[in-house]
Amino acid sequence: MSYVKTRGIVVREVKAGDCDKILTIVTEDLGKISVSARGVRRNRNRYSAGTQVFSYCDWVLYKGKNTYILNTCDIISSFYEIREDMALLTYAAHMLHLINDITYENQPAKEPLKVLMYALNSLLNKDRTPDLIIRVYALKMVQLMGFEPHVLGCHLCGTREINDIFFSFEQCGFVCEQCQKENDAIPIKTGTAKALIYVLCASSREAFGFELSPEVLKNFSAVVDRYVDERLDKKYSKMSFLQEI
Amino acid sequence: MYAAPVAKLIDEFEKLPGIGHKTAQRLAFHVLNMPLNKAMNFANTIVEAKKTIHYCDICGDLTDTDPCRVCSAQNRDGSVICVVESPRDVIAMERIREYKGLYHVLHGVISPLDGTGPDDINMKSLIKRVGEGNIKEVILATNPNVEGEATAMYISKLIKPMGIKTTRIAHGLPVGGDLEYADEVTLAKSLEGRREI
Repeated sequence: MSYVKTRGIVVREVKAGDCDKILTIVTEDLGKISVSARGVRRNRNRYSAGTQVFSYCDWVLYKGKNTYILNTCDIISSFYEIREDMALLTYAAHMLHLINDITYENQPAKEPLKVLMYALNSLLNKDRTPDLIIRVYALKMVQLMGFEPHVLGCHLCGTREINDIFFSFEQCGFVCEQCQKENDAIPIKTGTAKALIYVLCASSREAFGFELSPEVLKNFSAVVDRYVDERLDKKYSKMSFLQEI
Repeated sequence: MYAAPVAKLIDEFEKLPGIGHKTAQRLAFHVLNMPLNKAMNFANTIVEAKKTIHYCDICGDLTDTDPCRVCSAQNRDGSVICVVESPRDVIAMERIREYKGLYHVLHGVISPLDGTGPDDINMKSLIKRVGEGNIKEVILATNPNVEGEATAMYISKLIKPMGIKTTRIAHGLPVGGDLEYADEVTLAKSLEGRREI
C-alpha cells in the first residue's frame, strides 16, 4: 500500500464507531480530503490532539478505497488559543466553514490554506479587530475562486475619475455616480473603497495588515458580507452565533 | 424475502447506532431463536426503562427517581458541582470513587461549528443552581477537545464573577504512558500544569 505525505488543516471531524473519527482535511496538494482516523478517541492514542479541528499538521496517509487512512500526523500548530474564547472560536468556525465550501478533492489548495493561516494568526493577535479579519479573509477567498470584484474604476464606463463611489452587486464592482442610476448599487465610503482595493491587490500576507475606523468597518463589512453571500449563493450564518453567546 | 414481522424486526435493529444490515439480521435471528419468555423479558425491559427513566430535575442526569440518587444522598458534599457533558461522564467519574460532590449534566457542548448555542444545552439551570448560594466550587469536566474547552471557558466566565471557585480538570500524560510518544500539545499542557512534589 503506498502512502502520501501532505500538509493541511482539519476543518471538520465526525465521530465514527466507538473510538474512530472521519476527518475532513484541507491539504496543500490534495485539496479537500476525507481521512479515516482509527482509534484516535482513545485516551492513549498519540494522534488524539492532531486529529482535532484546527490542527495544522504534516500528514502521512494511506490511500484507501473511498477515503484516506491516517498513518501519522505531526502537529505544526494546534491554534490552541482559539478554544479559550467562544467569540474567537465563532470567528474561526466561520473561516473553516468558508474554506470547506470553496475547496474540492484533487484541486490543490495551497493558496486558500495560506490565506487561512494568515487569518487565524491575525485572529489570535489581541490587538487586531476580528470583524475586519474575517471580512478580509472572505474577500481574499472569493478572489481566489475567481469572483474578484472590479475595483479599478467604473465597471460600466471605465472612468477612473469618480467622486462618489458606488458598489454594484449586479455588476460586481465599482460604478460611478452616472452609471449607478441604472443599477442596484449602494454608495460606499472612500475608506471602504480604499480597503477593498488594498485587500484585492495585496499579497495574502499583507492583506491583513491594516485597521479601519468603526464607521468604515461597518460599511466595509456590509459590502463584503453581501458580496460573498451573493457570489457563493449561500447565507453564512455562523456570525449570528455571536449574538447568542 | 423475509416474512413481514422479521423484516420489520431487522429494520428496527438497523435504526440503532452502529448497527448495519448484517448485524441487524444477526440480532433479529438471535431474538427469534430465544424462548418466548426471554424475548418478552427483553421487550419489557426496553419498555420499562423507557417509561421510568427521565432526567433529574436538579442535575439533568438520567434517573428513575426524582431527584436522582446522587442529588438526594446525605453523605455527598453539596458545595461542589462537577459539570460534565453526558450521563456517561457521570458513570466515568463515579468509577474513581474519590469524588463525593454533586454533578451537573449539560447534555452537549456549545459549538459554533455545529450551531449549538448556550440555550440548546442544560446551562441555564446550572447558573440558577450556582446562584442559589450553597455552592463553593464548580469543577468543569467537559472533554478536552475544541468545543469542550470553549464551553468550559465560557461557563467559567459566567460563574467566576459570582465569586465561586471555578476549576478545570487537568490535562496531561496518561498514567502508564510514554513521554516519547506524547504529542506536543499534551506535553505542553502537562508541563503547564506541573505541580511541586
